[in-house]
Amino acid sequence: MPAQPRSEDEEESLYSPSDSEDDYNEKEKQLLKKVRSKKKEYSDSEEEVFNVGANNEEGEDDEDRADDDKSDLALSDIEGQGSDDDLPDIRAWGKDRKKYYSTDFVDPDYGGLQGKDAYLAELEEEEARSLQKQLVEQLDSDDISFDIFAKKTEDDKVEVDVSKLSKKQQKLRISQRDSPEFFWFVEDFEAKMVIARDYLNPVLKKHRAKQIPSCRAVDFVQTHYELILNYCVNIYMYLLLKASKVNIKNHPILKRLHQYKQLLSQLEPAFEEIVKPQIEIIMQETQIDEEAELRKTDRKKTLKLLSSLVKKPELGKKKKQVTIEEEPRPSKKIKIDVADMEVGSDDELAPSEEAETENNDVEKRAITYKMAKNKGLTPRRKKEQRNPRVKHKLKYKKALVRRKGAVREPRKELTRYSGEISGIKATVSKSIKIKT
Amino acid sequence: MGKPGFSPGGRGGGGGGSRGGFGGSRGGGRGGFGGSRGGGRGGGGGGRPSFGRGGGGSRGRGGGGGSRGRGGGGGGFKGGKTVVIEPHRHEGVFIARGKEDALVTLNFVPGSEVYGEKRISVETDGNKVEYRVWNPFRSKLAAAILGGVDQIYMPPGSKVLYLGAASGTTVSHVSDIVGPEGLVYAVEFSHRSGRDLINVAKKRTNIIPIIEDARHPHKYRMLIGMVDTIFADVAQPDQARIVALNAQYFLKNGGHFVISIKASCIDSTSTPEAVFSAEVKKLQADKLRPQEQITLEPYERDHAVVVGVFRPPSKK
Repeated sequence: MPAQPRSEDEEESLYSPSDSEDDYNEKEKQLLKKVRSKKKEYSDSEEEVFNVGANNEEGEDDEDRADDDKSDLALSDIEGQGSDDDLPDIRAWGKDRKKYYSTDFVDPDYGGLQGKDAYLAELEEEEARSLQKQLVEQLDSDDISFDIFAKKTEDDKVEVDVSKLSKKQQKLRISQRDSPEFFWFVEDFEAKMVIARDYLNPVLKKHRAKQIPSCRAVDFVQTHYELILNYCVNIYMYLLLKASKVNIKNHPILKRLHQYKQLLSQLEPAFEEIVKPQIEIIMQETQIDEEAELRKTDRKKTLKLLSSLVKKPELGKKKKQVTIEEEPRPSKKIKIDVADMEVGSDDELAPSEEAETENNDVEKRAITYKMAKNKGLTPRRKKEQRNPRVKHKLKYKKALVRRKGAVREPRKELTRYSGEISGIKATVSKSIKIKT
Repeated sequence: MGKPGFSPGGRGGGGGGSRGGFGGSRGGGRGGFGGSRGGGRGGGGGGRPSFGRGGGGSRGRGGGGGSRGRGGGGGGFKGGKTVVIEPHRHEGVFIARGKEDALVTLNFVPGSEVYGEKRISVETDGNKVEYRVWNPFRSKLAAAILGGVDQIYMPPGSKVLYLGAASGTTVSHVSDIVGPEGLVYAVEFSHRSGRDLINVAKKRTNIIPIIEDARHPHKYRMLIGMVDTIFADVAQPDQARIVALNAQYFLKNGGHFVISIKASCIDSTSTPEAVFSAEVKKLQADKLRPQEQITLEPYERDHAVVVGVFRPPSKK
């Protein structure tokens, strides 16, 4: 039966898919490609009855997917990755039971970072740690730390029965124990402010008034002043936080305060030894000057008064003479006045002199509104003329009303026409005659 | 029941001759108008006929109380109101004075209406006369008359060439005015409205409908003789030229023209006043001498009617 196998072969060749894809056109090729690729996806996968993980495929080119798989805590293949003991990886342990059941959603960050991300995160963490270390070192290098106060207070701690003390005392005690730096800050605040007020500020004022030329000492004073102010502001903030009962154990303000304190302590010796004596000298000088000035002004005033006292009586006498000469009729009254004046001249002169001195102090009279406007002779205008916009608006309104009389507003035939309400006049002719 | 003292005829026997004359055509929409009162009211006007309308109470119920022909029927010449008809300055036009005054024309074909207008029926000495209310919102000629145009040059017995007749609304009133001795040549190009025009002309023997383009008067020159007046409401940019062309063909020397101008149809960009004056200039160039102009507010917006004379006889 030689024909049989041959026919089988023939059949095979007929039905088996040919290797060449020349028979297919472009579209069909694409379709085929799709189908084949799909087959591949499913070909290797084993059928699972209880698919716990999202997908448990291997041999995927997709890295993300692999990551996802790893991150899935439900998988136990992370078991014993790093450590030698038989315990599963730490990450494999979930906090709650839910993690061990499949969900549709798989968070990529779930269960910590993996691969590249994890590496990057580690780097970042390391860097942060080093930074922190630096900061800590800075703090440590400070010669003054709060530990001192803490120790002091601890040493000073006296076992006193709290209940025996009054409430205020109790509170004080508690606060001292909680925050030893508090009282120290308050004291320092006061001291610094006094320095700023009594020494630095006057000098700066003088500098601003250009009584002191700018030099390095002034710069020093300036910086010192600003530093103190900043420091005090920070203390303020600290107090505020205290008042609002915020836990400031690890608050950045403490560090900041510390830095300021350090800077001030650097400035302190220079200020005490060099600058302070100089400032004191300057202040003394200014005080002397001021006193001298005060004395001068007093003297001047008195002099003026004296001079006017001398002048006044003469003036009064002159007046009297003039009035009598010019107007003889109402002389009686004047005479009486004059007599009065003469009689009480000594008593009455003093107040009048005072008034005169006041007048000397008063400035010239200001010009009146009329003078300032200097309008001259202008006719009165309507209020609407002031604003051009309003003027035009009103003008337009008026024109509209006038036009209504000339041209009637076109209207629609809203209801069935039933005649002219205003009547028809047969004789009227309103047309415009055109002349040629 | 109207005014009992003034309309005895109206309350006469039902089915009187004066009733149902036209009501029948509208399916008994109204009970009919009262008969004449004969002889004016209260010595009103020497020789001027005045008429009362009675039968207000029977309105809507007359003729078996059938369905009302016209919906609403509100407003207008209510039953029981006396209406006095008096002639207008323009011959053939009348004024119906009632609660509200209305322009009316004597119905050439009593008992028929053209576009649903109201009618006022009157009987004097046994002669039944019917008037049709002329709606100025529908007719520019009526609007011009109400606006106070000086002359319309369409006395009874005159021949009028009407360009742009449309459905024959105004044409019917013009045919009323010119009367049986007159003629109205109504030219309309649109077949659709021409159909209505022909229907109007069927009843009115003095209307000659011509469905032709008014731009080519030579096409219908064989139908028209010389006319006294041309009325044009064509609303075309070359309106003046159309009128001039037709005037050259059909208008007698010293004949008149009445043109309605819609500003937006000629030039919508410039102001209406400018358009009107430009049109007047164009007419003057074509030996049409405009004599007067009137705008049609409040019935139409930006419309004007120009009345003039063609080749006036030279003055000596």
